[in-house]
Amino acid sequence: MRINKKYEVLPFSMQEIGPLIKDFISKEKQVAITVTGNSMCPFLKDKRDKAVLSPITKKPKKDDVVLYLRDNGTYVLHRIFKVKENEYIMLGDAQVYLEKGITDKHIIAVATAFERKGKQLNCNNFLYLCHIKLWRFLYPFRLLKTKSVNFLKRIFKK
Amino acid sequence: MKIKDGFIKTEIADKIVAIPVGANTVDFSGVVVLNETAAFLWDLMQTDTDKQALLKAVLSEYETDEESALSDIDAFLQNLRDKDFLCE
Repeated sequence: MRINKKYEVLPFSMQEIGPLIKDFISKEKQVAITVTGNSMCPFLKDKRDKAVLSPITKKPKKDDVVLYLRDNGTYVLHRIFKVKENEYIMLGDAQVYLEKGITDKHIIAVATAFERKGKQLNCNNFLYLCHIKLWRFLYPFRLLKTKSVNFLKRIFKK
Repeated sequence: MKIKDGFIKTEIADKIVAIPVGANTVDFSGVVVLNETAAFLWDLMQTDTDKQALLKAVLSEYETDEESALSDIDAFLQNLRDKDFLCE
């Protein structure tokens, strides 16, 4: 017989807990999750930071971090880069290539608070809003850098 | 003694887990993974019980000797106390 000597607290992957999150959100519950993956770096880091997800009560807006379910069945926590009439353009903070085709039917929940490096952070926190603005401002430069690196890689491979 | 209220026992990725549930918030960042025996004890402790009753239940359910069962139960209870999950 073996009983757990210690509690094992695992940050399950989004794919594993996604259906349960969806279920709780549909029951009007807030859900706190440990972030897994680094697509929201440098703001949210894998297994270090947390996000509190809330049910959607109004149309998500630009810069909101939302949990959505892609058509291929993957659960993703990314930021809304742009809101268009019939779709959202998504972008993880660590990413440079935009994701199109996300609509209201894909979006499950919106992040209303975070825990970053152990500190609570509300979505209307001044420093958080500054971070979003700075990161958005840097986007063209990040994109240019990635494209330049990829271009150079292609040249030197030849 | 019993496990405090506020947990949902379910399965995630073939693992038995207990998820802390507050009045409004479900805390996936505090998910507790239980192996089969821990889950067995967890169920028993949903209602008020004591160590002797747990020991008796474990000895009748699993092939083990009293000494090691008691040692494991003590460790399990201590973990519950450490996490403040136990109502005594």
